[in-house]
Amino acid sequence: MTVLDILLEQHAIRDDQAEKITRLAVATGLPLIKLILNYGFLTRKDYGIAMEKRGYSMSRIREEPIDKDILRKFNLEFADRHLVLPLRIAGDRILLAMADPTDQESIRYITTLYQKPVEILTANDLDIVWLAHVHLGEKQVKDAVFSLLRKDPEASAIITFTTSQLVIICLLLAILVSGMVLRFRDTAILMNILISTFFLVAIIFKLYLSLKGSQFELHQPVERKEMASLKNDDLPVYTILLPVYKESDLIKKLIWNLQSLDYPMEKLDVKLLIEEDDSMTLQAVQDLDFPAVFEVIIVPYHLPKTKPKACNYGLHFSRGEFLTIYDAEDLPDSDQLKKVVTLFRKLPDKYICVQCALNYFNRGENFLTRMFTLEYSYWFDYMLPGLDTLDIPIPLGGTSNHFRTFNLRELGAWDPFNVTEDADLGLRAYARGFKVTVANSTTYEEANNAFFNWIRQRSRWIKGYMQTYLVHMRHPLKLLRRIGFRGFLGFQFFIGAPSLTFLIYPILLIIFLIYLVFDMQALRSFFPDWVNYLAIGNFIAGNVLMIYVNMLAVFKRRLYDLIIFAVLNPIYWIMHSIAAYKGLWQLVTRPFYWEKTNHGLSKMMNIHSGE
Amino acid sequence: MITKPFTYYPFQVLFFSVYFALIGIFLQHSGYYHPQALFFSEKASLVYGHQGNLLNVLGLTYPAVPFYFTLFFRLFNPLWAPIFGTSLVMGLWIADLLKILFKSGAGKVPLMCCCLLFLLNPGFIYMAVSGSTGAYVLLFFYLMIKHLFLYFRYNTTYYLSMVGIFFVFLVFTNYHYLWFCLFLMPLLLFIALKSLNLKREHTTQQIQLVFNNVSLRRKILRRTYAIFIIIFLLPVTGFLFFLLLNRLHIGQVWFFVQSPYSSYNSGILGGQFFHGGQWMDIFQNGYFIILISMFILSPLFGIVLMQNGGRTNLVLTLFSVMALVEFMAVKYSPISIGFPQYSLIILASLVAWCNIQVSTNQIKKWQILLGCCALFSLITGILYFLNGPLRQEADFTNAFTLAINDKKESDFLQDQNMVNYLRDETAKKDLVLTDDAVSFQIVAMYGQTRKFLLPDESLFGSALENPQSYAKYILISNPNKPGGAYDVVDIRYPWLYANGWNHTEPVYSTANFRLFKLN
Repeated sequence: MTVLDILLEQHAIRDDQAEKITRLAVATGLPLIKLILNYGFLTRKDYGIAMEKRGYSMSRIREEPIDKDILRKFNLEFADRHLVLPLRIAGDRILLAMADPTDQESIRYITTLYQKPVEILTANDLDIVWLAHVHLGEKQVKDAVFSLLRKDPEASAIITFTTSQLVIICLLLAILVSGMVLRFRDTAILMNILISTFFLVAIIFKLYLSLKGSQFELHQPVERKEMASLKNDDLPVYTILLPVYKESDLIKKLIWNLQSLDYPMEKLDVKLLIEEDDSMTLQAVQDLDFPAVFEVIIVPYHLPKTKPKACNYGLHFSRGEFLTIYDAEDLPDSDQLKKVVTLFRKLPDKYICVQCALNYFNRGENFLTRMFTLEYSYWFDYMLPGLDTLDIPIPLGGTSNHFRTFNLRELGAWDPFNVTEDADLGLRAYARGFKVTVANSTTYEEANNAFFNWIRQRSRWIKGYMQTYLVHMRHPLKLLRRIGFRGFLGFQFFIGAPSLTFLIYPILLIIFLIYLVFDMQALRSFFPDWVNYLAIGNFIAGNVLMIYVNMLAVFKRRLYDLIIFAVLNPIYWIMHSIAAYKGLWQLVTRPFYWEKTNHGLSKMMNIHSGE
Repeated sequence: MITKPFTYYPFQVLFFSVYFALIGIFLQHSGYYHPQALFFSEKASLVYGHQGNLLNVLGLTYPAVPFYFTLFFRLFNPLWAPIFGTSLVMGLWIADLLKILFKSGAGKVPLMCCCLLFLLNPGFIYMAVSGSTGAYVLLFFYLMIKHLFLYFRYNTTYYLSMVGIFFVFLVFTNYHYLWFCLFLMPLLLFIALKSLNLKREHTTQQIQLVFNNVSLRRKILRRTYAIFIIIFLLPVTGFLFFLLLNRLHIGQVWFFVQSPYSSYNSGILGGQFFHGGQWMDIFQNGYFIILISMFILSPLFGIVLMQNGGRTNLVLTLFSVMALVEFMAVKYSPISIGFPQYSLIILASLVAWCNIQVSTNQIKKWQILLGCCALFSLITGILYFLNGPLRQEADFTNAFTLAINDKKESDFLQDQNMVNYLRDETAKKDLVLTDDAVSFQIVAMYGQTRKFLLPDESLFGSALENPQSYAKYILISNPNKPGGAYDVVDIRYPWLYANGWNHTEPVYSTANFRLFKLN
């Protein structure tokens, strides 16, 4: 009798569901229990009840003593796939924890492996998964952490500042301080000219890119008719990684969002990556009142505790030809996966990643969410297509970046020591000759709506950009040779410049306000008129143009009510500056520390229409 | 098919630019200078000579765009620089307009007629060879209108933002065009109305529906203000910040238009614009007449308005241009209404023609209309210029006629004599104290600004008190020269001379200027 027969007998599932599960088992080669619990057929609670009614009582195996010598013989992949785990020898038998006590294939395997008969403890699959990953996942988690470091030490952010970088930074600071002490006026003029020129070039470059990006407003990389010709049977297995940490409140929403995806269930390989110490989220999955549509992977404890490490770990178990990452609260366009598959099939093999646009469903909630929406609309709808058009490396967004799994592994996956692993990966891919493009599909996320939460998140992003800049600028000439002049320029402006801009912005703002409100004579003694005029002209033009391109982006999305909020950007940039200084501090003191962003704070759960 | 000629846009630009530049150089050789061109040329020379307050010259010379073009071409030749600038921008828009006319199915003969219009109409030649702002206005206005029509067709933010960006250039070429914001309002409201995709067919029904429904009313207001902001934010804020910089730097908000050191069109010099002439004699009795002038100078305007192919946005665009010109006539008359403004109508009509969707069997009719209208505009343009109301246009016509007849006779030749005297009869190192608010043409024609001691220089104040210690000559304007009242040198020294100041003696005099030697 199989587990399906038991469930049918207990009326836990219907006949049609049983047939579907059998069909899926043949198609995917996955064990029945895996399909039943992870493909939306039955809740864990109902499964437990049905099994107990049939006489299989559920054991609390996490409280059972475990013999590590016994475990050492076993392998994690089998445990994870079949949801079985040998715990210890009890008498002359192997005590075996099984989520499906009727799984004869696993029993035979264990018997052969240990040369002993088994004594079965029926257990909750999540407990088995937890124990298996925690006790057997050491090699995989070490791989997740050190694989890139072993493969390409120069690309790893494990060292924040190299000696030569430290020497250069100290030297520049020394020159600046000496200049300020010895010839303050001349140094101030020189600095002003350098900053003004930098701002001017950066702004013009951004405006140009935005206009370039907006030119392709009507361009659809994938059209509907192309999608219509897709056949489900031809679709590849698609892995979705969902790294979460203490996000128990979002699990239900996550299931709703995943269920809205238009992709055949049997071709999905959804993995919820839960940290070993995150019992809250694990419990939330256990207590779900409706069937889960994902498989749980427990990420064993290992420093640094970062999202890229979790993703690298999840990548080890991924089955998909393509792979993407979503956050727990993400709401992708339902046809996104099909669109990406279509696009990948159209593109040459050198395209490793397709980045989809990100936007926010709770944009109307408060000032922060509105500003976030303005920023993301501009970034994903204008800047990235602009970068794409000009073949400049694209700093990937945190989620909704879809990869060819093989190429991703080949590249060394994400750098676990980098807190903006996405931006780093985009650049690394480009340097290795891979290409990234953007697709006409959007994932709606939850915009951060709380000030301190926002500062935490943004300080991490800015710190990550600084890390990425330092990593890739270890050998500037080598980088220039690898990514070409255009790529190098793009790298300077999109990875290096933002952090510097945010650090400088408040200083310029203060100078401008002094110039505007107080007697400018005081400034004139330090700066000649023409420098002042140029700097302030630049500053004004820069602010206005950046506000304008933000307006364009929300106009394109028909979010007319947000247009006026673009004028509040200077305030938003001051917040960026606060985050930048925090990020800079952390870069020196805690470079790998992952500032956790709390999700699920929004009271709005649906996408609001344009008007 | 005439595909090939339109494949090479740069060559067409080159052709038109060279054609206009050659005419401009020929006319200059015959003694024709546009005073505004000389004004730009003098300012550019000041920059290249590193003389005076460069910040003021670079930041406050207005209109900024023509000045920067002149500044660039000053690299090649000081007096030809403004001509090169206007020839190039005329070439740019004419070639582009011909290209879109061709793409819209204008046909060979009508295209040739349009070419003739641009090549032979004295109005266009005047704008292209004068080195003044007219050509720049046409370029940016054309690009703005073109992108507005592209927005109607494709409905993308890109085209709307391009309208806004070109509007910035237009405003920094002539800030009077900021009024366009006002006249585009109905059009923007209409665009917003259409984007609501209401079921009612008739526009008035749609308006009725929208204004009686709270939700729709909110929507249309949001859309209208959104479009309005995208188009006008940059020009309006750009202009306001420019005013602010004037205020901060000089202490006067309107310094750039009021000071003769910043703008040729400052109020002080404005008196010299009006000339009279038959055209004005016939039509000056009312602003309504300006409206008729538009239809006479551009009959295509009326035709496109009437046969608009059901495109209300096209009609509203044309009406807004017409209203703008009419408004400028009322507000700034007579300074702002000359051929450059009428040519906006011609341009808007041609762009509109390209955007009228006609059925295949009507193409021929439209081609004939285009050709006939182009020829008609050419003839009326010639007639207009023969009897033009504005002094500068009349000057141009005179200069053109005289040049064709190989006669050289103009005010500028008199000025050239003064320049020749300075060049030949004075030592190279001898400085000339003068005020370039009035004598900018002498400075421009001389080319070497170091020869002159000008108000922007730190020594000027001292030189004014004690001229013989700083300069060898004083150049002042004659009392009958327009703008002379502003000339600080002019005001001070004739009085001293008349009252027995024996440190000066007149050495040379022309119709406009007098040169005194300091003992």
